[in-house]
Amino acid sequence: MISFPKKQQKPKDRKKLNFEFYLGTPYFLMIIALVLIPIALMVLYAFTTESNNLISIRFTFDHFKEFFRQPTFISSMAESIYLSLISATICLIICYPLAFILSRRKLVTQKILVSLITSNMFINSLLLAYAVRSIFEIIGNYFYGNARHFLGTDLAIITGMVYLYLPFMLLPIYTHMAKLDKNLFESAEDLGANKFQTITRVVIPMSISSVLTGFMMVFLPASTTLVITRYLGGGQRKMIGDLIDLAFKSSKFGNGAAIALVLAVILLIFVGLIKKFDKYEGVLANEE
Amino acid sequence: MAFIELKDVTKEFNNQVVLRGIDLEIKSNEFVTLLGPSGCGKTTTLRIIGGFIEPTGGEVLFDGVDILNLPAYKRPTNTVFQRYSLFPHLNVYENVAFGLRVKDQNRDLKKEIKTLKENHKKAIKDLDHKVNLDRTNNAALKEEVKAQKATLNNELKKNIENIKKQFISKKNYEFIIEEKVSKYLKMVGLDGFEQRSISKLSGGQMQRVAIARALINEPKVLLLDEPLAALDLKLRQEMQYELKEIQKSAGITFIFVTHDQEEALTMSDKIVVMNKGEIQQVGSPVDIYNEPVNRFVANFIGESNIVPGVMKKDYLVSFDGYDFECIDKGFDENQEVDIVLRPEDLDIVEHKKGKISGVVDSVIFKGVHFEIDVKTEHRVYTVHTTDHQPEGKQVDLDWYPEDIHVMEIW
Repeated sequence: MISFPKKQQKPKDRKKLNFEFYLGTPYFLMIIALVLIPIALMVLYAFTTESNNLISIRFTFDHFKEFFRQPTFISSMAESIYLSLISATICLIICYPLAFILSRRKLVTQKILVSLITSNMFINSLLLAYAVRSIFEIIGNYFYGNARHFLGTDLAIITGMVYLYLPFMLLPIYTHMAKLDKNLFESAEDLGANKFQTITRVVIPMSISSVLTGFMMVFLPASTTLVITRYLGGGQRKMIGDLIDLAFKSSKFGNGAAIALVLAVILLIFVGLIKKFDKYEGVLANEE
Repeated sequence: MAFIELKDVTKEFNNQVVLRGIDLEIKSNEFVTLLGPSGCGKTTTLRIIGGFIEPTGGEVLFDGVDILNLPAYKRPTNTVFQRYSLFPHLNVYENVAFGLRVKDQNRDLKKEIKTLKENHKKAIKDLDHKVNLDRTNNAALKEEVKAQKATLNNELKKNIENIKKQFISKKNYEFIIEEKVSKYLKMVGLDGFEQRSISKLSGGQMQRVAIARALINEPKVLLLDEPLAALDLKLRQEMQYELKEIQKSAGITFIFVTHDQEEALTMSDKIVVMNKGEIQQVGSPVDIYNEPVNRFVANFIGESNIVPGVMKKDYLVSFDGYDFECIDKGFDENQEVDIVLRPEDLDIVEHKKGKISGVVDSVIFKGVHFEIDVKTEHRVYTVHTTDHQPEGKQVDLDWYPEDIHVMEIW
C-alpha cells in the first residue's frame, strides 16, 4: 500500500496561497479605496435625505420616486441607451471587416494601419468632439445656411460616438484576429469550404468573444458620455450623463446618485445579456 | 495511366529555388511516400498538390486534367496537417462533420437541373430559329412549333419536379451526417468521443480526428504531412499500421510526407526520395533499400558503409587495395564508383579467415544488436551483429558477393 503524505502537502498549498494573497494586497486596497467605498457612498446618497450631520440621516426612496415620476428622466435614459447601442453596432460593422482585412496584411502594414486608426486615442476627447462639431457646423452653414442645423440630431451624436469610440472596438477584435491560427483557414478550405463559408463557419464563431468585448467597450462609455452631448447635442439633447452632471452641479447629490445607480443596474443587465451570447467562451479560455 | 502526374514542377520562394523540376507519376490506390531531410521540398510538393501553393512552373494533372487553376476547396484531395489544425471551437463530432456541412447536399441534382434547363433553352432556340427561317410565314408551322414548345415546357417542369423529389432535406441530411460521422469515428477508433472538446484530446486522438475529418469527404487522394511526427514511438507504430489498413480498406491514394526512413519503409508501396528540391530515386521500399542509386540515398535510407572504388570489369570491383567478386555489371572498364556495404550484411570472423582485416574499435549495445566499429587499414566499417566482440581484438570482415552494391558517382 502506498500512503500519500497528505498532511505534508497541505501547508505547502497554504503557503503558496498566502504568497499570492500578499502579492494582491495593493490591488485589494486599491479596489476598496477606489471602487467599493465610492459605490457605498453613492448608494448611501441615493437612499438618504440630505442633511448636514451623519446622525440625522434618514432612509428614503424619494430620489428614485422622483426619477421615475419625471418623464424627461426616463426618456433621456432610453435615448442614451438607444443612441449608444446604434453607435456600438455601427462601430462593429466598420471594425469587424476592417480587423479581418488588417490581420491578413503584412506585419509592417498591420502595425502602421493600427497605430493610425488608434491615433485618435492620443488626442483629447474634447478636441475630437469639437472637431466633429466644427465639421457639422461647416456643412450646415454651407448647405442649409444654419450652422446649428445638424447639432442635436441623431446623425451628429452617433457620428461623434463612432468617431470617438472606434478604436475601443477595433483593438480587441484585431488582437484576437491576429492571433487566429492561419492553418485553420487552410484546413477549412481543404475540407471544401469556400472563402465565404470559411468566414461564417470558422472566423466568426472563433472571434465572437472579442466582438462582445469590443461591443461593451463602446457601449458602456458611449451611454454615459458627457462630451458628445455637450458639443454635438446643441443643448437640445439631454442624455443621462447631462442629467447626472446637472444634479451634482446643483448639489442634489441624492438625485444624481439615484440616477447613476439606475443607469448602472440597466447597464449591468445589458452586460449580462451580451455575455449570454458568448457561447464560445471556452475558446478563449483554452488558449492559455 | 497515371492518376496524378507532376510534370516539371518548379517553385521559387524569394528567388530561392525550392523545387527544381519535379516529375512524378502516382497510380490510383497507391501509398506513396515523399521522403527526405527537412528542407528538401517534400512538404512544398504536397502543398502544391493540395492547392495551397502555386508552383512557379510546371503542370499538375489529375486523370490527365490540369488542376492548377482549381482552388483548394474544389480539388479531390483532403489533407491531414502536420499540426492537425482541428477547429478548437467545435467538438469532435462537429470537427469530423465539417466537410459534410460545408457541402451542398443536393449539388449533383442541382447540376442536373441546370443542364436540363440549358438543353431546354437550346431546344426552344432551335424552334425559334426554325420559325424565323421560314419566309413563307406558314401559320401551320407556327402552330406546330407552339405545340412543340408547350410539350417541351411541360416535360421540363415534370423532369425538374422529379429531380426535386430526390432532394435531400436538411433534416434527412442531418441523419446522413450522423451516420457517416459515427462510421468514420469508429474507423479511427474514437466512437464515444463525439461530444469531447478538442482541447481535451491527446496527440494521438487529435491525429485520428484529423484523419477522420479528412476521410469523411471521401477524397480520391489523401495528403498526409508528417502526421505522426508528434506521437511517441509506440503510438506511432500503431498508427502506421492503422493508416495502412485504412488505405487498403478505403481504396484511397495516400501521399505521405515524412523524414523518418523507417516509417517510409514500413508503410509505402512507393518511396520518392528527395534532396535539395530534386527527386533522387523512385521505387519500392525494397528497391530503394537494396539498390540505392547514389551516395545520398544510401546514406539516408538505413545505415551504410560507403566506399569509393573502381569497377575493374563486369563482376569485379576493387576497393581498399583488393579486388572483390560482385554481381554488378554494365559499367565502363575502370570506372570510378561508390560501393555500399550494409552493416547488417557484414560479418565479423576470426583473423585471417575473412576478406579485410582490422581491429575492433568500439562496441555499442543497441538492444537488438551490437553496433561494432572495425578499424581497417583504410577506413572504419560499421557492423551490426548479435555476437559480442571485445574491444581491441584482431578480426576479419567477410561478406557474400551479392552484399556488394555498386553505384555510379553522381
